[in-house]
Amino acid sequence: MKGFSLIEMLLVVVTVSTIVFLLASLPNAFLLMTKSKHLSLAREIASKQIEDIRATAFVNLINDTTEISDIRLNQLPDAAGAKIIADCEAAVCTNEENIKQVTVTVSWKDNNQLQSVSLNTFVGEGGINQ
Amino acid sequence: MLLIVIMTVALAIGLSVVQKSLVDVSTASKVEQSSRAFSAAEAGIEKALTGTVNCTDCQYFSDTSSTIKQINTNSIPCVPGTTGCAQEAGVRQVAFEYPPLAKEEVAQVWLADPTATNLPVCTGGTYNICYTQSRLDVYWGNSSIDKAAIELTLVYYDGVKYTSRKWYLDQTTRDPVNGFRQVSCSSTTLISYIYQCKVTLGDNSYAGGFPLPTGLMLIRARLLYNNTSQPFAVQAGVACPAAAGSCTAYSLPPQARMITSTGTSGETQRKIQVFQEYKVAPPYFDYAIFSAGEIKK
Repeated sequence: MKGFSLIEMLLVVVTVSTIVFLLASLPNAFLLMTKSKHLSLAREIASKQIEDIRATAFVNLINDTTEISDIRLNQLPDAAGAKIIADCEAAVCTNEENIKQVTVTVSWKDNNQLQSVSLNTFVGEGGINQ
Repeated sequence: MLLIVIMTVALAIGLSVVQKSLVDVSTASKVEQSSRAFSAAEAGIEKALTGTVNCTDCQYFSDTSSTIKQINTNSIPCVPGTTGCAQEAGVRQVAFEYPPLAKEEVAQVWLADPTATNLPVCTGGTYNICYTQSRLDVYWGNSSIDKAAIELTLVYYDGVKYTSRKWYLDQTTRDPVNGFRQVSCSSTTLISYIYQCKVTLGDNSYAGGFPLPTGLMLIRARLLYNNTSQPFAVQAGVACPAAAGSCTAYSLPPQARMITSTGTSGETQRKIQVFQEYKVAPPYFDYAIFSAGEIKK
């Protein structure tokens, strides 16, 4: 007899559905890939800032909030970054050690949603690279 | 047939794109966590390097997703599998073994605690500030072919001033013509290396002896004539009696501290270890500050 069996029809329906689902997911997948790329770039920028701060003499680390200057920020949509240098909290540095708490934050927008990466560390007098 | 091919290709493309996006997201997330953990671990090291930390398994700093655990051992690190760690009754303290030294490179071992505030007075504190035993073993070299001589500089306090004593030792089998004192060497096995030569300072059975003064502060060593890097070690010469209540007087003071800082963020953990030696004078100091005679230009 000519025509399609039920199994053949089912197979076609399942396959076509899978393809349609995957194709529908493609835009989302591309968005996720872009988001990952941005996340990696933001992390690299933040890490570089931490390294730069470690290479700075401790006496030149002034408590302040400053904007990050990195040309790679242009590769992130609506990007901004800030580094905050503050004295170590008394609850942590109980002996009033000469330690600065450094927070570097890089933020950008993905699909109109604000994303950010933040690294938090200490820089001490006579510490790493000092 | 054409329809099947098109569907297969579309399926493959769709699957690969979705898989790549998932892998990318996972990788980016893990790398970010790794960076956060590394920064946290570095923060722990910074905190410990300020020198005001002396504890085990401390937890000092945390932010929303990272913590630090920091271990600060303030003694000669014990070697796993051995029993001869510092302050242990019935055995001799393990040797302090330096990594191999190149020719004319200088090693320094403290015989008094450099962090003690009341030196040269050796009393006070929670443990022995000065090494006060009458014998001290020195090991050097690990080659019977590339034979190394050694220059030892002992710095001590004679009751009035800091002064130094030097020994120049060479191996008898090298038949040196350098005027060094010759030592008959036989190999000795310690934990990390097999040493070619050993002398016991303070052992008067040697011809001429190696008199060990009191007020010991530090000993410095420089290997000579060796073409390859070779190890050097110092070991407390007297075992702590098993019945001794405290073995602090039989141990070398702390030589360094090892700081292990672990940063954790999510499921990612990063560990940083720092080995910090106490104050070490530059090599040229042996010929200036520690010079036995007057310095002349």
